[in-house]
Amino acid sequence: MLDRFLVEFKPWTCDFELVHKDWLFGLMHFKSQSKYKIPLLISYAYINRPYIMDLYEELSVVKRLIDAGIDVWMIDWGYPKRSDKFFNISDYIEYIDFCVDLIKKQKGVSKVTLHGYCLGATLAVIYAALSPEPIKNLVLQAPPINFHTNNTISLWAMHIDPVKISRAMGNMPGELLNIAFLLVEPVKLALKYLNVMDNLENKRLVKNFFHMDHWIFDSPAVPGYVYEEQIGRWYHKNEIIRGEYDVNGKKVDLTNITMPVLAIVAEKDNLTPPETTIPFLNMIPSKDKKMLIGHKGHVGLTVSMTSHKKIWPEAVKWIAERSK
Amino acid sequence: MEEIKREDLIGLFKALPKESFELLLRNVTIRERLEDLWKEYASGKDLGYGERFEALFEEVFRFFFRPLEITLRGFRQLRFLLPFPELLESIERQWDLIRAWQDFADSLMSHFSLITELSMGITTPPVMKSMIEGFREGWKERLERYYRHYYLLDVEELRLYTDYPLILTKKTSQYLLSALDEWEEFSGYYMEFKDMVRDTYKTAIMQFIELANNRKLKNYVEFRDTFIDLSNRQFDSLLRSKRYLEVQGNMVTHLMNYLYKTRRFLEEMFENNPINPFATVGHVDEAHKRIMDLRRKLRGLERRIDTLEKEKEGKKVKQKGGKK
Repeated sequence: MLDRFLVEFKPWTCDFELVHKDWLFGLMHFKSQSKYKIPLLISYAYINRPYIMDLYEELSVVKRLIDAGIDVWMIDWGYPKRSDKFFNISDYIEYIDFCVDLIKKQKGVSKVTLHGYCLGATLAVIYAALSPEPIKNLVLQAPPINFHTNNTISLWAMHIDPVKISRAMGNMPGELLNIAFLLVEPVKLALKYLNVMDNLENKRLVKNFFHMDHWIFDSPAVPGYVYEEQIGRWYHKNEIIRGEYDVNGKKVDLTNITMPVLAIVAEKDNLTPPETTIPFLNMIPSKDKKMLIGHKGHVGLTVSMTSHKKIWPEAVKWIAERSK
Repeated sequence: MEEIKREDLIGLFKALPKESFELLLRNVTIRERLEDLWKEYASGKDLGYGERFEALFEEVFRFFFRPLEITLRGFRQLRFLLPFPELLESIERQWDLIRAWQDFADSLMSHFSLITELSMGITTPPVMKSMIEGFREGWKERLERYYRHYYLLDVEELRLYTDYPLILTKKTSQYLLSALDEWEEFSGYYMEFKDMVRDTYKTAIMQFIELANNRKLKNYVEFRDTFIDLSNRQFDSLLRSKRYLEVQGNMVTHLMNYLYKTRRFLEEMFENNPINPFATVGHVDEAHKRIMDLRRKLRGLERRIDTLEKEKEGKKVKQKGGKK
């Protein structure tokens, strides 16, 4: 029977409390005994679910941070419905601002560490450039900031009309995004399950494999207007790196990023390769900036054994040293 | 070695994301086909491009083609709304069927009247019995009157369909015709997209066959991995090629235009029908947009009040300090 292969799917391993819920967005606070003064707020990519950061106990970035004594908070960008089509990027930035304020008040601190992952890192960079005062450290994991790169997904994004998609579909459906991500390597996908089928005796491998699949196919839609901005202004016009992007008329000036910056990138990342980050790191005036390069892909950076042996101990150390 | 058995499939279907389930099944078939090819090759026969490689193509790419083909087939729904000759013929045939049905319904009603009278004679008090009979007769008489009246009006059923272009508003017809044009464009680009994918696959397979037939592959793993590597290389260059980007971009654009215009055609029909009791998606979208705008205004006001209160507090503190 089925239980020979699978156990019930549970997305999180660490305990948390949902401290705020606002229509679509939510703020989570992980239970911990923090040793460091500065809390850390994670802004995950709105095109996937954030529990990838805590999917497996042994490969959980959240647990690693908590175990190091860091107070971890995380934004949940939710599952947008048709009624959320009119959310735009400024709503996301305002919610980061709201969360930073709430954490500051609750913890009695004046600054937080902002940790962005993928498109959540793009939001983190925008926020840090607009409001640098409350950001003690900026941690960017696989961040797309320079969108004019030569990887397949970027080339595709540059050749589609997002307005036509949002006009027809309301939002960009998660299922459609998934098909696009999978079509990047179609033949690889056709044989993806062979390894797991050949190792059905290895319960842990099977469980981890299918839990990952749950995450992969649990993709929220992107609100129509957000998608228009993301593709139109970020991918087509590359406005952020060019210093042309604004939020409600306020220019996103990357020269405001003077706080310590840690960028964690993956060499084999076919969605946000290192070239999406390097020009950004070169142009910001921060005196304390570092780049860690993993040898895995976009997701492997978070959930691979190699990353947890080589990248995360160093990343957590960097954060801890600057969280006193 | 454990294997997934037939009785596991229902359990797997319930437990896994549907995409994982489909890909898992396809991967099983792909493996079987590849193993068959290997056995044939290992027995000393040369490989050739034939049914087996064609079947492999279907297994690998069905996952990507299906959503597009469903949309292509969706055109039938639109076609059903149009007064094509076969539709008119089918309506004529339906009228014969409806008349036969009416005869059947009349006889069924007589049958039930008889049954009811029998049971009422035994269990129902006389007052109740006359009430039910009165209601039934009154209802029957009224329906017959409506029917007579309807036929006296000489409403020609088929005329509705032949008058179709004159019934629809100008805007509605324009959306309809435009949707049909978009569908035609979309289907053209889809054919080109599918051909490009098929040609690339065929090129990869011809390279694979040439290499294999030189007897360079020593075992199944090498055989399988060479198939994957060669295919991946071919697809990587296709998916980033200028023509592919144009075709994919145009295909998506025309697909989205087709969906949007079809929806607008249906919305226009409903919105122009005074007895339609439903709000259209367009109406609901507009309401959501207004709610979102109001929400932003409210947030702006809250921020303004917050700033004013802080300023007021600051002034009070200053005044107190001055008095001291």
